[in-house]
Amino acid sequence: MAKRKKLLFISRSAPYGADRARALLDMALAASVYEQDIELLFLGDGVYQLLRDQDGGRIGEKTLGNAIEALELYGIENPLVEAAALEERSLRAEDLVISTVALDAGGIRNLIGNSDVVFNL
Amino acid sequence: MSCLHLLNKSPSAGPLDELRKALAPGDGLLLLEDGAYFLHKPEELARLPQGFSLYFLTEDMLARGLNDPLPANATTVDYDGFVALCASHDKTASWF
Amino acid sequence: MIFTIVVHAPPYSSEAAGTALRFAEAVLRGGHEIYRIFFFADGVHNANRLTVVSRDEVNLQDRWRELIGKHGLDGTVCVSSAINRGIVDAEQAERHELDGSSMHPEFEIGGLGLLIDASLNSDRTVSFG
Repeated sequence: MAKRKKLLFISRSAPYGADRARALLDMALAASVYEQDIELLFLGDGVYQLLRDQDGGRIGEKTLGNAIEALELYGIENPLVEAAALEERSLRAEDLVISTVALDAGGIRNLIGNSDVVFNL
Repeated sequence: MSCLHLLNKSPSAGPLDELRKALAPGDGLLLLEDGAYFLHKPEELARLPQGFSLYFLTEDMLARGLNDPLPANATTVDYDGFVALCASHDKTASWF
Repeated sequence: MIFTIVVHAPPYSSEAAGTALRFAEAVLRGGHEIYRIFFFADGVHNANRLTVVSRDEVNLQDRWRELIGKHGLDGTVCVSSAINRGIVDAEQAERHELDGSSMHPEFEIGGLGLLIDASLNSDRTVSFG
């Protein structure tokens, strides 16, 4: 196989209303076993996946927040999050299930620029 | 490294806020499917940063009966041109 | 250049499955290679064998299987997306004690890892949804 690649997963959908958030997460987890450079970025409504106190069982769903908490076990630590997305939704670090690294628009452009493959859901 | 962004949603339905933060100078933006309606509302493109190349997929424009004049900085491509754009950029990102 | 095409869209309810098909045809026309076409989430419906389409409509499932068959392409359907949407091959049907296959035989069923494998082995990964 060719050289190690940078795979960027952009998660920009809120959980539960559609299966996109779960699907994106499944892709990132599938990638984690391939020993590549993986970046996970929560953009826009995607930051709602990070909320504490989710209880998917209420609507017959697995709790996505639990899967987010487990990312670390797959070697995906401190995912990236769009700073403005948190701000626009009045979310603070203590509202989130895991610690994240905040990026501004310039950081997001650099991240995409430096990636080899972009998955975006 | 340049990225070809694919947008297939109309100006009122698309994730323009997110795309605005992702588009970098030197990138390309291909408007396809309902993205073709940007041809009718080109002023919406002003919400995006400058410095990228703009393309419309001809088949989707024609299918929708859109015959507004092409914005000055835009080019039309057919499917062969679409493939060529994918090859001439380093990667693609789809905003469906 | 080597392409991987990812199809998230089902046929008929959105334009994107048709867009992906026309793109795949153009990739081959341009002399490029397709490493894999990966059908994910609702995109797995493109592999459904049990469809009837009126005569004045394009049968997208048939178009896909013709393209895959004719060019010997790898058309992989995501297993976890497929089985809960009723898209099963003979092997899955037997394993889950269902009464038959619902998938065109030109397609294959595989895990999500095959999408990652495909993008690592391709120069470009292009997604449609």
